[in-house]
Amino acid sequence: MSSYTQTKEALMPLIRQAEKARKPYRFIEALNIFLGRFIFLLGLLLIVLFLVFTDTYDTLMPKLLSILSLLDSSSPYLLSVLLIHAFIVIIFKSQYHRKEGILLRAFLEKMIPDFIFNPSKSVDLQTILNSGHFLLKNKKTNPKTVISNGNLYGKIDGIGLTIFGLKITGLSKFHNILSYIPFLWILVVMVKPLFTKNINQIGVVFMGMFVVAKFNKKIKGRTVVLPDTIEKRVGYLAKTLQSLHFKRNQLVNMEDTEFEKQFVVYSTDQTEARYILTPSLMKRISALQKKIARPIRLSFKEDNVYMAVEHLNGFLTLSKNKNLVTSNALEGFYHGISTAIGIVEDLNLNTKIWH
Amino acid sequence: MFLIGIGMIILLMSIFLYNSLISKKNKAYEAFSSIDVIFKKRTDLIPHLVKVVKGYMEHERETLTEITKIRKQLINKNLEDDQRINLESKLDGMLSKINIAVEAYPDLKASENFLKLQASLNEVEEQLSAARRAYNAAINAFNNSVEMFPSNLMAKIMGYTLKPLFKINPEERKVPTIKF
Repeated sequence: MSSYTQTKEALMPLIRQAEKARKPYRFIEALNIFLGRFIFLLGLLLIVLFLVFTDTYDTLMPKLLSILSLLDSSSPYLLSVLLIHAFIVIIFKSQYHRKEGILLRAFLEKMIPDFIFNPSKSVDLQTILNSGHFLLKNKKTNPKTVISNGNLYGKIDGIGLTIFGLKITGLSKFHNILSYIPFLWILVVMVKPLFTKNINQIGVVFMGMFVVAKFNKKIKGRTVVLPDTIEKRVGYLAKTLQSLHFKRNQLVNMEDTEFEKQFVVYSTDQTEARYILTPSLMKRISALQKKIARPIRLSFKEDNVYMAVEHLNGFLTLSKNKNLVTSNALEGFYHGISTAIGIVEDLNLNTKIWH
Repeated sequence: MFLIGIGMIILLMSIFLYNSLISKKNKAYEAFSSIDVIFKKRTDLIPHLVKVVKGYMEHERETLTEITKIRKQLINKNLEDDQRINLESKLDGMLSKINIAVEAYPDLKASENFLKLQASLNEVEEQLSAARRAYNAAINAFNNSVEMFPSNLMAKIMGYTLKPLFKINPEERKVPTIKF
């Protein structure tokens, strides 16, 4: 694997070219968000002003109706403005993604020549559901749409590894199409954007790295390792609460206290969960958690291990708001990929107990 | 009315504690039975092991005879649980001895039959270790209920006492794992 400095230096002309294409799109997107919020707030302000300065209902209604009729008479112009706007966004967005795809492919070819990057390849929803990381019929974690930033496939020490950059949303495909029409989209998601730091996070169930690798043991059921968010808050009561999670399989209490503090394990079989999570693997998972310093989800099914790590700005993609030449955007990307590839060694997947 | 309410609460709590203790006891039995299944798997591998290694390991005849003897005792169905665990522990020690002795027989180490058998034995050992840990976790949950208030009151009425954990033989602990 080439070092980060070597890779960046070799690709500098391409990076500059990609950055040139990114700038106008960044501007358009920022303008979109600003205009959307501005119009929404203006609407709110007008309603408040009407309510404050109007004495009676009788005088309020005609004024509101006059504004609505004004909108109605100008609707063909409004519609054409919206369509032109959407058209411009689509053109800049596709240009942005095309340049990013070219840059990422070249970057990855230089960084890990044995891996194949396919920017258009996606992962199907069924694979995501098979992993058991996310639950169906749960308001917060029900994945409806999977948007993938492509996949990266290769082998490390003979272990097949597929890395995806995923965005799983609880919003339907219809909502995603609406994202091309900024004003309408703002109305669809209503007040949420006003309080959201990162507009890409609206309706997001998960965004980040998703890795599928071959596991060194054959498994009959499914074991899921999730970040333990309750134990830090409620202490020993956490186990009781977690065992009441009826949508998950049986709760498995592991012997490694450090591992138990950070993770909660659900499995179809208590013995099989321990067959998978040996004391040494638990130590390795805890160390990996420390190294990555982000929430990790792992699951084991058939002969696969699935790992998901949250990246709030997306994975297998470059941070939109950062300059590729002057910021550390590419460095972050490089480290993300190194971490994904490193799981073979970190989790000792290349050691079989039999030969 | 108030007394009836209190009575109902006590009754419901008793039912809950009774059922919870029964469930934990049954989970411990279930965990033990899964150890039993893997012990059986291992016992079934013994004749193959003896057959494969006896041609090579001239100086280990005594150990091999001992292993065969233990296996014969293990397939006897009238064994008590304690006796069975003791015999399995002895077998653990014997198998570890064989694993170490293999280092002195390069021909045996290179034999494909032996490698396959050793892979199966390693796999069974991994499963056995997992089953023992699952058993200990089940026993731990049961013992906690027997000792903790208020389930300890119900445990006393039901005559439940602490169950011993599955201990690893000290000899076994010292033995290094086999390396190729």
